[in-house]
Amino acid sequence: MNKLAVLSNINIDPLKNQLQKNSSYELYFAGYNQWQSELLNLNSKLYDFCPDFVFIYLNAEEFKADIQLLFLAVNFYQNASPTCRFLISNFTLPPFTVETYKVARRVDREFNESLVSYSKDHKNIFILDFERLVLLHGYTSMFDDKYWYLGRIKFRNSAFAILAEEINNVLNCMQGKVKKVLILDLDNTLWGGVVGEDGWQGLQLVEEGVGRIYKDFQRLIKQLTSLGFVLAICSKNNESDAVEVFDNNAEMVLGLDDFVIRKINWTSKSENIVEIAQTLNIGLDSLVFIDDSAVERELVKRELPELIVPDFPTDITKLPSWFILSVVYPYFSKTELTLEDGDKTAQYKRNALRESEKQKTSFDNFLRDLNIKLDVRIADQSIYKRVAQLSQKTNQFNLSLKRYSESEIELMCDKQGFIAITCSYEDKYGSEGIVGCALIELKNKKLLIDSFMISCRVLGRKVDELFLADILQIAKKKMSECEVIEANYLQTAKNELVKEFLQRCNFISVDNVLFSRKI
Amino acid sequence: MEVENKLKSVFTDVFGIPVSKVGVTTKQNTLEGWDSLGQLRLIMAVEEVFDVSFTVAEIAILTDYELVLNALLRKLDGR
Repeated sequence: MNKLAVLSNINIDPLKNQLQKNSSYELYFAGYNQWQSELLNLNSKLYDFCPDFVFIYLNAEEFKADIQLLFLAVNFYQNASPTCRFLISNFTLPPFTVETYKVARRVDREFNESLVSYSKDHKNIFILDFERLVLLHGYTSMFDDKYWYLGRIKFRNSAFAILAEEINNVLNCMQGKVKKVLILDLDNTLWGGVVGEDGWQGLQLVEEGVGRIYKDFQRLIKQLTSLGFVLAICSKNNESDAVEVFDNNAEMVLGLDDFVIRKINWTSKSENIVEIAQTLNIGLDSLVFIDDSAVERELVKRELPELIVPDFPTDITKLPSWFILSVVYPYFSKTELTLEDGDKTAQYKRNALRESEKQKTSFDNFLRDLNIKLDVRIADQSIYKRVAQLSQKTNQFNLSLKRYSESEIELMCDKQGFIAITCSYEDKYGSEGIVGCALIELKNKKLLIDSFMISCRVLGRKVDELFLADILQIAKKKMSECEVIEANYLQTAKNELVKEFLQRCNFISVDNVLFSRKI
Repeated sequence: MEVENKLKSVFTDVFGIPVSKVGVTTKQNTLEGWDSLGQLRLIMAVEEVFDVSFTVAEIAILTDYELVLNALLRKLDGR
Protein backbone atom coordinates (compact mmCIF):
# COMPACT_ATOMS: atom_id res chain seq x y z
CA MET A 1 0.00 0.00 0.00
CA ASN A 2 1.35 3.43 -0.92
CA LYS A 3 1.87 5.93 1.84
CA LEU A 4 0.51 9.46 1.74
CA ALA A 5 1.42 12.16 4.24
CA VAL A 6 -0.65 15.33 4.53
CA LEU A 7 0.81 18.62 5.75
CA SER A 8 -0.97 21.91 6.26
CA ASN A 9 -0.88 25.21 8.09
CA ILE A 10 -4.55 24.90 9.07
CA ASN A 11 -6.69 22.08 10.41
CA ILE A 12 -7.64 19.77 7.55
CA ASP A 13 -8.17 16.68 9.66
CA PRO A 14 -11.64 15.88 8.22
CA LEU A 15 -9.85 15.16 4.95
CA LYS A 16 -8.74 11.90 6.54
CA ASN A 17 -12.23 10.41 6.48
CA GLN A 18 -12.81 11.53 2.92
CA LEU A 19 -9.53 10.01 1.75
CA GLN A 20 -10.28 6.75 3.53
CA LYS A 21 -13.64 6.52 1.80
CA ASN A 22 -12.41 6.01 -1.72
CA SER A 23 -8.70 5.39 -1.81
CA SER A 24 -6.25 2.94 -0.39
CA TYR A 25 -3.35 4.92 0.96
CA GLU A 26 -1.78 4.47 4.33
CA LEU A 27 -2.22 7.96 5.77
CA TYR A 28 -0.26 10.22 8.05
CA PHE A 29 -1.62 13.63 9.03
CA ALA A 30 0.89 15.98 10.60
CA GLY A 31 -0.22 18.09 13.54
CA TYR A 32 -1.78 21.49 13.15
CA ASN A 33 0.60 23.91 11.43
CA GLN A 34 3.53 21.50 11.78
CA TRP A 35 4.32 21.36 8.09
CA GLN A 36 7.61 23.21 8.30
CA SER A 37 9.09 21.41 11.29
CA GLU A 38 7.96 18.05 9.94
CA LEU A 39 9.90 18.71 6.74
CA LEU A 40 13.00 20.17 8.39
CA ASN A 41 13.41 17.94 11.41
CA LEU A 42 15.11 14.68 10.48
CA ASN A 43 13.59 13.08 13.58
CA SER A 44 10.02 14.08 12.83
CA LYS A 45 7.22 11.58 12.41
CA LEU A 46 7.15 12.42 8.73
CA TYR A 47 10.66 10.99 8.26
CA ASP A 48 9.62 7.96 10.32
CA PHE A 49 6.56 7.42 8.19
CA CYS A 50 8.64 7.56 5.00
CA PRO A 51 5.82 8.45 2.59
CA ASP A 52 5.68 7.79 -1.15
CA PHE A 53 3.65 10.96 -1.56
CA VAL A 54 3.31 14.16 0.44
CA PHE A 55 0.34 16.44 -0.07
CA ILE A 56 0.77 20.01 1.14
CA TYR A 57 -2.09 22.46 1.50
CA LEU A 58 -1.09 25.89 2.72
CA ASN A 59 -3.86 28.37 3.24
CA ALA A 60 -2.80 31.66 1.67
CA GLU A 61 -4.50 33.85 4.29
CA GLU A 62 -2.63 32.20 7.12
CA PHE A 63 0.65 31.80 5.25
CA LYS A 64 2.42 34.96 6.28
CA ALA A 65 5.89 33.99 5.10
CA ASP A 66 7.87 34.08 1.89
CA ILE A 67 6.95 31.23 -0.42
CA GLN A 68 10.64 30.42 -0.79
CA LEU A 69 10.45 28.99 2.73
CA LEU A 70 8.14 26.32 1.43
CA PHE A 71 10.49 25.45 -1.41
CA LEU A 72 13.50 25.38 0.91
CA ALA A 73 11.73 23.01 3.30
CA VAL A 74 10.64 20.73 0.47
CA ASN A 75 14.14 20.74 -1.03
CA PHE A 76 15.57 19.86 2.35
CA TYR A 77 13.24 16.88 2.67
CA GLN A 78 13.96 15.79 -0.89
CA ASN A 79 17.67 15.71 -0.25
CA ALA A 80 17.09 13.20 2.50
CA SER A 81 14.37 11.31 0.70
CA PRO A 82 14.80 11.82 -3.05
CA THR A 83 12.14 9.43 -4.30
CA CYS A 84 9.25 10.94 -2.41
CA ARG A 85 6.87 12.84 -4.66
CA PHE A 86 5.17 16.07 -3.61
CA LEU A 87 1.73 17.26 -4.52
CA ILE A 88 1.43 20.90 -3.54
CA SER A 89 -1.85 22.77 -3.65
CA ASN A 90 -1.74 26.20 -5.22
CA PHE A 91 -2.93 29.20 -3.27
CA THR A 92 -6.30 30.91 -3.15
CA LEU A 93 -7.16 34.02 -1.19
CA PRO A 94 -10.78 34.81 -0.36
CA PRO A 95 -12.37 36.98 -3.03
CA PHE A 96 -12.80 39.81 -0.53
CA THR A 97 -9.91 41.91 0.71
CA VAL A 98 -9.38 45.51 1.72
CA GLU A 99 -7.65 47.06 -1.24
CA THR A 100 -8.13 49.54 -4.02
CA TYR A 101 -9.52 48.46 -7.36
CA LYS A 102 -6.52 49.78 -9.19
CA VAL A 103 -4.03 47.68 -7.26
CA ALA A 104 -5.73 44.30 -7.49
CA ARG A 105 -2.33 42.72 -7.19
CA ARG A 106 -2.93 39.60 -5.27
CA VAL A 107 -0.29 37.72 -3.40
CA ASP A 108 -1.78 34.35 -4.29
CA ARG A 109 -1.16 34.97 -7.99
CA GLU A 110 2.51 35.66 -7.37
CA PHE A 111 2.75 32.59 -5.17
CA ASN A 112 1.14 30.44 -7.80
CA GLU A 113 3.49 31.63 -10.51
CA SER A 114 6.51 30.76 -8.39
CA LEU A 115 4.96 27.41 -7.62
CA VAL A 116 4.56 26.67 -11.33
CA SER A 117 8.18 27.43 -12.09
CA TYR A 118 9.32 25.50 -9.02
CA SER A 119 7.38 22.47 -10.21
CA LYS A 120 8.80 22.80 -13.72
CA ASP A 121 12.34 22.72 -12.36
CA HIS A 122 11.77 19.75 -10.03
CA LYS A 123 10.46 16.55 -11.47
CA ASN A 124 9.09 15.28 -8.17
CA ILE A 125 6.94 18.33 -7.54
CA PHE A 126 3.39 18.34 -8.84
CA ILE A 127 0.68 20.96 -8.44
CA LEU A 128 -2.83 20.33 -7.23
CA ASP A 129 -4.88 23.03 -8.90
CA PHE A 130 -7.00 24.04 -5.94
CA GLU A 131 -7.66 27.40 -7.55
CA ARG A 132 -9.52 25.60 -10.33
CA LEU A 133 -11.69 23.78 -7.79
CA VAL A 134 -12.56 27.05 -6.09
CA LEU A 135 -13.48 28.65 -9.41
CA LEU A 136 -15.57 25.61 -10.27
CA HIS A 137 -17.50 25.23 -7.02
CA GLY A 138 -17.34 28.77 -5.71
CA TYR A 139 -15.49 30.13 -2.72
CA THR A 140 -18.53 30.52 -0.48
CA SER A 141 -19.71 27.01 -1.13
CA MET A 142 -16.32 25.60 -0.12
CA PHE A 143 -15.30 27.80 2.79
CA ASP A 144 -17.07 28.72 6.02
CA ASP A 145 -15.48 30.96 8.63
CA LYS A 146 -17.58 29.45 11.39
CA TYR A 147 -15.44 26.32 11.49
CA TRP A 148 -12.34 28.46 11.33
CA TYR A 149 -13.19 30.38 14.47
CA LEU A 150 -14.39 27.26 16.28
CA GLY A 151 -11.67 24.83 15.30
CA ARG A 152 -9.16 26.22 12.81
CA ILE A 153 -10.96 24.50 9.95
CA LYS A 154 -11.63 26.57 6.85
CA PHE A 155 -13.42 24.16 4.56
CA ARG A 156 -16.99 23.01 4.60
CA ASN A 157 -17.68 19.29 4.51
CA SER A 158 -18.31 19.32 0.77
CA ALA A 159 -14.93 20.95 0.16
CA PHE A 160 -13.15 18.07 1.87
CA ALA A 161 -14.89 15.61 -0.44
CA ILE A 162 -13.95 17.70 -3.48
CA LEU A 163 -10.35 17.97 -2.34
CA ALA A 164 -10.07 14.24 -1.59
CA GLU A 165 -11.37 13.37 -5.05
CA GLU A 166 -8.89 15.71 -6.70
CA ILE A 167 -5.99 14.31 -4.67
CA ASN A 168 -7.00 10.83 -5.77
CA ASN A 169 -7.21 11.82 -9.41
CA VAL A 170 -3.83 13.52 -9.46
CA LEU A 171 -2.07 10.78 -7.53
CA ASN A 172 -3.53 8.18 -9.90
CA CYS A 173 -2.28 10.24 -12.78
CA MET A 174 1.20 10.57 -11.22
CA GLN A 175 1.32 6.78 -10.95
CA GLY A 176 0.20 6.32 -14.53
CA LYS A 177 -3.07 4.74 -13.42
CA VAL A 178 -5.06 6.21 -16.28
CA LYS A 179 -7.14 4.70 -19.07
CA LYS A 180 -5.81 4.17 -22.57
CA VAL A 181 -8.73 4.03 -24.96
CA LEU A 182 -11.97 6.00 -25.26
CA ILE A 183 -14.73 4.09 -27.06
CA LEU A 184 -17.54 6.19 -28.50
CA ASP A 185 -21.04 5.61 -29.72
CA LEU A 186 -22.11 7.64 -32.79
CA ASP A 187 -25.79 8.66 -33.02
CA ASN A 188 -26.72 11.32 -30.46
CA THR A 189 -23.25 11.03 -28.99
CA LEU A 190 -20.78 12.27 -31.61
CA TRP A 191 -23.53 14.08 -33.51
CA GLY A 192 -27.18 14.97 -32.90
CA GLY A 193 -29.72 12.74 -34.63
CA VAL A 194 -29.74 9.25 -36.09
CA VAL A 195 -27.85 8.89 -39.36
CA GLY A 196 -29.92 5.89 -40.48
CA GLU A 197 -33.03 8.08 -40.37
CA ASP A 198 -31.87 11.65 -40.82
CA GLY A 199 -29.11 10.95 -43.37
CA TRP A 200 -25.61 12.43 -43.20
CA GLN A 201 -26.94 15.82 -44.34
CA GLY A 202 -29.67 15.95 -41.69
CA LEU A 203 -27.56 15.62 -38.53
CA GLN A 204 -27.24 18.25 -35.85
CA LEU A 205 -23.64 19.27 -36.33
CA VAL A 206 -22.95 22.91 -37.16
CA GLU A 207 -21.37 25.92 -35.48
CA GLU A 208 -24.76 27.30 -34.41
CA GLY A 209 -27.35 26.15 -31.89
CA VAL A 210 -27.49 22.58 -30.64
CA GLY A 211 -25.18 21.42 -33.43
CA ARG A 212 -22.40 23.43 -31.80
CA ILE A 213 -22.55 21.18 -28.73
CA TYR A 214 -21.52 18.15 -30.76
CA LYS A 215 -18.83 20.09 -32.61
CA ASP A 216 -17.36 21.26 -29.32
CA PHE A 217 -17.55 17.73 -27.96
CA GLN A 218 -15.68 16.42 -31.00
CA ARG A 219 -13.02 19.11 -30.61
CA LEU A 220 -12.43 18.03 -27.02
CA ILE A 221 -12.15 14.40 -28.05
CA LYS A 222 -9.66 15.38 -30.73
CA GLN A 223 -7.54 17.08 -28.06
CA LEU A 224 -7.36 13.82 -26.13
CA THR A 225 -5.59 12.16 -29.04
CA SER A 226 -2.84 14.77 -28.86
CA LEU A 227 -2.29 13.76 -25.23
CA GLY A 228 -1.56 10.23 -26.39
CA PHE A 229 -4.95 8.63 -25.77
CA VAL A 230 -6.60 6.46 -28.34
CA LEU A 231 -10.13 6.43 -29.80
CA ALA A 232 -12.41 3.68 -31.00
CA ILE A 233 -16.01 3.49 -32.25
CA CYS A 234 -18.59 1.04 -31.03
CA SER A 235 -22.01 1.76 -32.47
CA LYS A 236 -25.11 0.11 -33.84
CA ASN A 237 -25.47 1.43 -37.37
CA ASN A 238 -25.10 0.31 -40.92
CA GLU A 239 -21.39 0.81 -41.38
CA SER A 240 -21.87 2.46 -44.77
CA ASP A 241 -24.25 5.07 -43.26
CA ALA A 242 -21.71 5.97 -40.59
CA VAL A 243 -18.78 6.09 -42.98
CA GLU A 244 -20.78 8.43 -45.18
CA VAL A 245 -20.96 10.96 -42.37
CA PHE A 246 -17.20 10.92 -41.95
CA ASP A 247 -16.64 11.08 -45.72
CA ASN A 248 -19.22 13.67 -46.68
CA ASN A 249 -20.23 15.82 -43.74
CA ALA A 250 -17.81 18.75 -43.78
CA GLU A 251 -18.77 19.71 -40.23
CA MET A 252 -17.16 16.61 -38.74
CA VAL A 253 -14.14 17.49 -36.60
CA LEU A 254 -13.10 13.88 -36.12
CA GLY A 255 -12.10 11.83 -39.13
CA LEU A 256 -12.15 8.07 -39.54
CA ASP A 257 -8.36 8.24 -39.19
CA ASP A 258 -8.69 9.38 -35.60
CA PHE A 259 -10.11 6.02 -34.58
CA VAL A 260 -7.77 3.07 -34.37
CA ILE A 261 -10.60 0.59 -34.56
CA ARG A 262 -14.24 0.72 -35.59
CA LYS A 263 -17.00 -1.66 -34.61
CA ILE A 264 -20.02 -0.38 -36.50
CA ASN A 265 -22.48 -3.25 -36.71
CA TRP A 266 -25.57 -4.71 -35.06
CA THR A 267 -23.94 -7.21 -32.72
CA SER A 268 -24.03 -6.56 -29.00
CA LYS A 269 -21.80 -3.77 -27.80
CA SER A 270 -20.22 -5.84 -25.07
CA GLU A 271 -19.00 -8.37 -27.64
CA ASN A 272 -17.64 -5.58 -29.78
CA ILE A 273 -15.86 -4.00 -26.84
CA VAL A 274 -14.24 -7.28 -25.88
CA GLU A 275 -12.98 -7.58 -29.46
CA ILE A 276 -11.61 -4.05 -29.33
CA ALA A 277 -9.69 -4.91 -26.18
CA GLN A 278 -8.34 -8.09 -27.74
CA THR A 279 -7.28 -6.44 -30.98
CA LEU A 280 -5.45 -3.69 -29.14
CA ASN A 281 -4.07 -6.22 -26.68
CA ILE A 282 -5.13 -4.32 -23.56
CA GLY A 283 -7.37 -5.09 -20.60
CA LEU A 284 -10.99 -4.03 -20.32
CA ASP A 285 -9.99 -1.95 -17.32
CA SER A 286 -8.04 0.33 -19.67
CA LEU A 287 -11.16 1.33 -21.58
CA VAL A 288 -13.88 3.94 -21.11
CA PHE A 289 -17.13 3.70 -23.06
CA ILE A 290 -19.42 6.66 -23.78
CA ASP A 291 -22.95 6.10 -25.04
CA ASP A 292 -26.04 8.31 -24.78
CA SER A 293 -28.38 5.32 -24.43
CA ALA A 294 -29.02 4.33 -20.82
CA VAL A 295 -30.15 0.88 -21.97
CA GLU A 296 -26.94 0.18 -23.87
CA ARG A 297 -24.89 1.43 -20.93
CA GLU A 298 -26.72 -0.87 -18.53
CA LEU A 299 -26.29 -3.88 -20.82
CA VAL A 300 -22.60 -3.28 -21.27
CA LYS A 301 -22.06 -2.63 -17.56
CA ARG A 302 -23.80 -5.85 -16.65
CA GLU A 303 -21.71 -7.90 -19.09
CA LEU A 304 -18.41 -6.14 -18.43
CA PRO A 305 -18.31 -4.89 -14.86
CA GLU A 306 -14.65 -3.84 -15.04
CA LEU A 307 -15.33 -1.43 -17.90
CA ILE A 308 -15.83 2.25 -17.03
CA VAL A 309 -19.16 3.48 -18.42
CA PRO A 310 -19.88 7.03 -17.22
CA ASP A 311 -23.47 8.30 -17.09
CA PHE A 312 -24.30 10.51 -20.03
CA PRO A 313 -25.67 14.00 -19.21
CA THR A 314 -29.46 14.32 -19.55
CA ASP A 315 -29.10 18.01 -20.36
CA ILE A 316 -27.21 17.86 -23.64
CA THR A 317 -25.83 21.41 -23.28
CA LYS A 318 -23.73 20.01 -20.43
CA LEU A 319 -22.02 17.50 -22.73
CA PRO A 320 -18.70 19.34 -23.22
CA SER A 321 -18.26 20.35 -19.56
CA TRP A 322 -19.44 16.95 -18.36
CA PHE A 323 -16.89 15.32 -20.60
CA ILE A 324 -14.02 17.34 -19.15
CA LEU A 325 -15.07 17.02 -15.51
CA SER A 326 -16.40 13.46 -15.39
CA VAL A 327 -14.30 11.73 -18.03
CA VAL A 328 -11.08 13.62 -18.77
CA TYR A 329 -10.03 14.57 -15.25
CA PRO A 330 -10.65 11.17 -13.64
CA TYR A 331 -9.57 8.90 -16.50
CA PHE A 332 -7.57 10.68 -19.18
CA SER A 333 -5.12 13.06 -17.59
CA LYS A 334 -1.37 13.22 -17.76
CA THR A 335 1.15 15.00 -15.63
CA GLU A 336 3.49 15.43 -18.58
CA LEU A 337 4.01 14.17 -22.08
CA THR A 338 6.70 11.90 -23.48
CA LEU A 339 7.78 11.70 -27.10
CA GLU A 340 5.87 8.47 -27.67
CA ASP A 341 2.56 9.99 -26.54
CA GLY A 342 2.05 12.17 -29.60
CA ASP A 343 2.14 9.18 -31.89
CA LYS A 344 -0.17 6.83 -29.96
CA THR A 345 -3.00 6.62 -32.49
CA ALA A 346 -0.60 5.78 -35.29
CA GLN A 347 1.10 3.17 -33.12
CA TYR A 348 -2.12 1.36 -32.32
CA LYS A 349 -3.20 1.56 -35.94
CA ARG A 350 0.02 0.00 -37.16
CA ASN A 351 -0.61 -2.69 -34.63
CA ALA A 352 -4.07 -3.43 -35.96
CA LEU A 353 -2.52 -3.65 -39.47
CA ARG A 354 0.13 -6.07 -38.27
CA GLU A 355 -2.55 -8.15 -36.56
CA SER A 356 -4.44 -8.50 -39.81
CA GLU A 357 -1.27 -9.47 -41.71
CA LYS A 358 -0.49 -12.04 -39.09
CA GLN A 359 -3.67 -13.84 -39.93
CA LYS A 360 -2.83 -13.90 -43.62
CA THR A 361 0.62 -15.49 -43.61
CA SER A 362 2.50 -18.00 -41.55
CA PHE A 363 4.03 -16.64 -38.36
CA ASP A 364 7.64 -17.00 -39.48
CA ASN A 365 6.96 -15.36 -42.80
CA PHE A 366 5.10 -12.63 -40.99
CA LEU A 367 8.07 -11.97 -38.72
CA ARG A 368 10.61 -12.03 -41.52
CA ASP A 369 8.43 -9.77 -43.56
CA LEU A 370 8.05 -7.26 -40.77
CA ASN A 371 11.78 -6.59 -40.91
CA ILE A 372 12.10 -5.86 -37.22
CA LYS A 373 15.03 -3.75 -36.07
CA LEU A 374 15.75 -3.35 -32.39
CA ASP A 375 18.00 -0.70 -30.95
CA VAL A 376 19.11 -1.86 -27.52
CA ARG A 377 21.25 0.49 -25.50
CA ILE A 378 22.09 1.73 -22.04
CA ALA A 379 19.69 4.49 -21.12
CA ASP A 380 20.93 7.93 -20.21
CA GLN A 381 19.17 10.41 -17.98
CA SER A 382 17.02 11.88 -20.73
CA ILE A 383 15.31 8.50 -21.16
CA TYR A 384 14.48 7.83 -17.49
CA LYS A 385 11.05 9.42 -17.81
CA ARG A 386 10.07 6.90 -20.48
CA VAL A 387 11.58 4.05 -18.44
CA ALA A 388 9.47 5.12 -15.46
CA GLN A 389 6.39 5.32 -17.64
CA LEU A 390 6.96 1.78 -18.90
CA SER A 391 7.54 0.47 -15.40
CA GLN A 392 4.31 2.03 -14.19
CA LYS A 393 2.10 1.08 -17.08
CA THR A 394 3.24 -2.37 -18.18
CA ASN A 395 1.13 -5.12 -16.66
CA GLN A 396 1.39 -8.12 -18.96
CA PHE A 397 5.00 -8.59 -19.97
CA ASN A 398 6.50 -7.42 -16.71
CA LEU A 399 8.87 -9.66 -14.78
CA SER A 400 8.74 -8.21 -11.29
CA LEU A 401 5.97 -5.60 -11.46
CA LYS A 402 8.22 -3.17 -9.62
CA ARG A 403 6.91 0.34 -10.22
CA TYR A 404 9.54 3.04 -10.29
CA SER A 405 9.31 6.78 -10.61
CA GLU A 406 11.75 8.74 -12.71
CA SER A 407 13.74 9.84 -9.69
CA GLU A 408 13.91 6.33 -8.28
CA ILE A 409 15.43 5.15 -11.54
CA GLU A 410 17.84 8.03 -11.50
CA LEU A 411 18.87 7.12 -7.96
CA MET A 412 19.30 3.44 -8.82
CA CYS A 413 21.41 4.11 -11.89
CA ASP A 414 23.51 6.98 -10.58
CA LYS A 415 24.09 5.82 -7.03
CA GLN A 416 23.26 2.17 -6.61
CA GLY A 417 24.99 0.58 -9.56
CA PHE A 418 21.97 -0.43 -11.59
CA ILE A 419 22.03 -0.25 -15.36
CA ALA A 420 18.92 0.71 -17.28
CA ILE A 421 18.73 -0.76 -20.76
CA THR A 422 16.12 0.27 -23.26
CA CYS A 423 14.87 -1.33 -26.43
CA SER A 424 13.52 0.71 -29.33
CA TYR A 425 11.54 -1.01 -32.01
CA GLU A 426 11.18 -0.36 -35.71
CA ASP A 427 9.68 -2.37 -38.51
CA LYS A 428 8.47 -1.79 -42.04
CA TYR A 429 5.41 0.05 -40.77
CA GLY A 430 7.38 2.55 -38.75
CA SER A 431 9.04 3.18 -35.45
CA GLU A 432 7.38 2.43 -32.13
CA GLY A 433 9.97 4.26 -30.05
CA ILE A 434 11.10 2.72 -26.79
CA VAL A 435 8.98 -0.38 -26.16
CA GLY A 436 10.99 -2.24 -23.56
CA CYS A 437 13.38 -1.73 -20.72
CA ALA A 438 15.34 -3.66 -18.17
CA LEU A 439 17.05 -2.72 -14.96
CA ILE A 440 20.00 -4.95 -14.26
CA GLU A 441 22.80 -5.32 -11.75
CA LEU A 442 26.17 -6.97 -12.27
CA LYS A 443 27.41 -8.56 -9.06
CA ASN A 444 29.58 -11.55 -8.10
CA LYS A 445 29.81 -12.87 -11.67
CA LYS A 446 26.06 -12.71 -11.90
CA LEU A 447 23.71 -10.75 -14.05
CA LEU A 448 20.71 -9.93 -11.86
CA ILE A 449 17.56 -8.79 -13.60
CA ASP A 450 15.59 -6.51 -11.32
CA SER A 451 13.00 -5.45 -13.86
CA PHE A 452 12.27 -6.54 -17.39
CA MET A 453 9.28 -5.35 -19.32
CA ILE A 454 8.03 -5.02 -22.85
CA SER A 455 5.06 -2.99 -24.03
CA CYS A 456 2.12 -5.15 -25.05
CA ARG A 457 2.10 -3.41 -28.42
CA VAL A 458 5.01 -5.49 -29.71
CA LEU A 459 4.36 -8.78 -27.96
CA GLY A 460 4.24 -11.98 -29.94
CA ARG A 461 7.04 -10.96 -32.30
CA LYS A 462 9.97 -12.51 -30.45
CA VAL A 463 11.09 -9.09 -29.31
CA ASP A 464 11.50 -10.58 -25.82
CA GLU A 465 14.15 -13.09 -26.96
CA LEU A 466 16.02 -10.60 -29.11
CA PHE A 467 16.01 -8.01 -26.35
CA LEU A 468 17.34 -10.51 -23.80
CA ALA A 469 20.13 -11.58 -26.16
CA ASP A 470 21.20 -7.95 -26.57
CA ILE A 471 21.11 -7.41 -22.81
CA LEU A 472 23.45 -10.38 -22.37
CA GLN A 473 25.87 -8.85 -24.87
CA ILE A 474 25.89 -5.54 -23.04
CA ALA A 475 26.43 -7.36 -19.74
CA LYS A 476 29.30 -9.41 -21.20
CA LYS A 477 31.02 -6.27 -22.36
CA LYS A 478 30.74 -4.74 -18.90
CA MET A 479 31.71 -7.85 -16.98
CA SER A 480 33.31 -10.55 -19.10
CA GLU A 481 33.49 -13.13 -16.29
CA CYS A 482 29.72 -13.05 -15.87
CA GLU A 483 28.50 -16.64 -15.61
CA VAL A 484 24.94 -16.79 -14.36
CA ILE A 485 21.82 -14.82 -15.08
CA GLU A 486 19.10 -14.55 -12.45
CA ALA A 487 15.60 -13.12 -12.58
CA ASN A 488 13.06 -12.74 -9.78
CA TYR A 489 9.60 -13.38 -11.13
CA LEU A 490 6.47 -12.11 -9.40
CA GLN A 491 3.47 -14.00 -10.67
CA THR A 492 0.22 -12.06 -11.12
CA ALA A 493 -3.06 -12.70 -12.90
CA LYS A 494 -1.75 -10.97 -16.01
CA ASN A 495 1.92 -11.76 -16.46
CA GLU A 496 1.87 -15.52 -17.09
CA LEU A 497 3.59 -14.89 -20.42
CA VAL A 498 6.77 -13.82 -18.67
CA LYS A 499 7.00 -17.27 -17.13
CA GLU A 500 6.48 -18.89 -20.52
CA PHE A 501 9.21 -16.65 -21.87
CA LEU A 502 11.67 -17.62 -19.11
CA GLN A 503 10.99 -21.30 -19.71
CA ARG A 504 11.28 -20.82 -23.46
CA CYS A 505 14.72 -19.27 -22.87
CA ASN A 506 15.84 -22.26 -20.76
CA PHE A 507 15.67 -20.59 -17.38
CA ILE A 508 15.24 -23.07 -14.54
CA SER A 509 13.36 -22.50 -11.33
CA VAL A 510 12.42 -24.65 -8.37
CA ASP A 511 10.03 -22.23 -6.70
CA ASN A 512 8.62 -20.33 -9.68
CA VAL A 513 10.12 -17.16 -8.21
CA LEU A 514 13.87 -17.27 -8.75
CA PHE A 515 14.68 -18.23 -12.33
CA SER A 516 18.29 -18.75 -13.36
CA ARG A 517 20.47 -20.15 -16.10
CA LYS A 518 24.07 -20.19 -17.23
CA ILE A 519 25.11 -17.60 -19.73
CA MET B 1 -38.52 9.32 11.25
CA GLU B 2 -36.79 10.07 8.03
CA VAL B 3 -34.82 12.87 9.67
CA GLU B 4 -33.85 10.55 12.49
CA ASN B 5 -32.57 7.86 10.14
CA LYS B 6 -30.61 10.37 8.13
CA LEU B 7 -29.13 11.83 11.29
CA LYS B 8 -28.15 8.38 12.52
CA SER B 9 -26.32 7.70 9.31
CA VAL B 10 -24.45 10.99 9.73
CA PHE B 11 -23.30 9.80 13.16
CA THR B 12 -22.28 6.47 11.62
CA ASP B 13 -20.33 8.24 8.93
CA VAL B 14 -18.57 10.71 11.21
CA PHE B 15 -17.73 8.45 14.15
CA GLY B 16 -17.53 5.08 12.44
CA ILE B 17 -20.05 3.35 14.72
CA PRO B 18 -22.93 1.08 13.59
CA VAL B 19 -26.40 2.61 13.22
CA SER B 20 -27.70 0.35 15.96
CA LYS B 21 -25.33 2.05 18.43
CA VAL B 22 -26.69 5.54 17.66
CA GLY B 23 -29.50 6.74 19.94
CA VAL B 24 -30.38 8.42 23.21
CA THR B 25 -27.32 6.93 24.87
CA THR B 26 -24.96 8.48 22.35
CA LYS B 27 -23.33 11.29 24.28
CA GLN B 28 -20.25 13.41 23.80
CA ASN B 29 -18.65 12.43 27.10
CA THR B 30 -19.00 8.69 26.48
CA LEU B 31 -18.41 8.29 22.77
CA GLU B 32 -14.81 7.94 21.71
CA GLY B 33 -14.00 10.30 18.89
CA TRP B 34 -16.62 12.85 19.88
CA ASP B 35 -14.04 15.33 21.04
CA SER B 36 -13.86 18.97 20.02
CA LEU B 37 -12.73 18.05 16.53
CA GLY B 38 -15.38 15.33 16.38
CA GLN B 39 -17.95 17.92 17.38
CA LEU B 40 -16.98 20.11 14.45
CA ARG B 41 -16.94 17.22 12.01
CA LEU B 42 -20.39 16.21 13.21
CA ILE B 43 -21.87 19.69 12.87
CA MET B 44 -20.23 20.18 9.47
CA ALA B 45 -21.78 16.96 8.25
CA VAL B 46 -25.23 17.74 9.71
CA GLU B 47 -25.18 21.21 8.19
CA GLU B 48 -24.26 19.80 4.82
CA VAL B 49 -26.71 16.89 4.79
CA PHE B 50 -29.73 18.87 6.03
CA ASP B 51 -28.73 22.22 4.55
CA VAL B 52 -29.08 24.00 7.88
CA SER B 53 -26.78 26.28 9.84
CA PHE B 54 -26.16 26.30 13.59
CA THR B 55 -24.86 29.33 15.44
CA VAL B 56 -21.70 29.16 17.49
CA ALA B 57 -23.76 29.25 20.71
CA GLU B 58 -25.97 26.40 19.54
CA ILE B 59 -23.03 24.25 18.55
CA ALA B 60 -21.53 24.53 22.04
CA ILE B 61 -24.51 22.88 23.73
CA LEU B 62 -25.22 20.09 21.22
CA THR B 63 -23.56 17.48 23.38
CA ASP B 64 -25.67 14.38 22.83
CA TYR B 65 -27.69 12.73 20.10
CA GLU B 66 -31.10 13.86 21.36
CA LEU B 67 -30.01 17.48 21.69
CA VAL B 68 -28.72 17.41 18.11
CA LEU B 69 -31.92 15.77 16.88
CA ASN B 70 -34.21 18.24 18.66
CA ALA B 71 -32.24 21.27 17.56
CA LEU B 72 -32.30 19.94 14.03
CA LEU B 73 -36.06 19.28 14.09
CA ARG B 74 -36.66 22.83 15.33
CA LYS B 75 -34.60 24.22 12.45
CA LEU B 76 -36.39 22.10 9.87
CA ASP B 77 -39.77 22.95 11.41
CA GLY B 78 -39.12 26.64 11.08
CA ARG B 79 -39.10 26.43 7.29
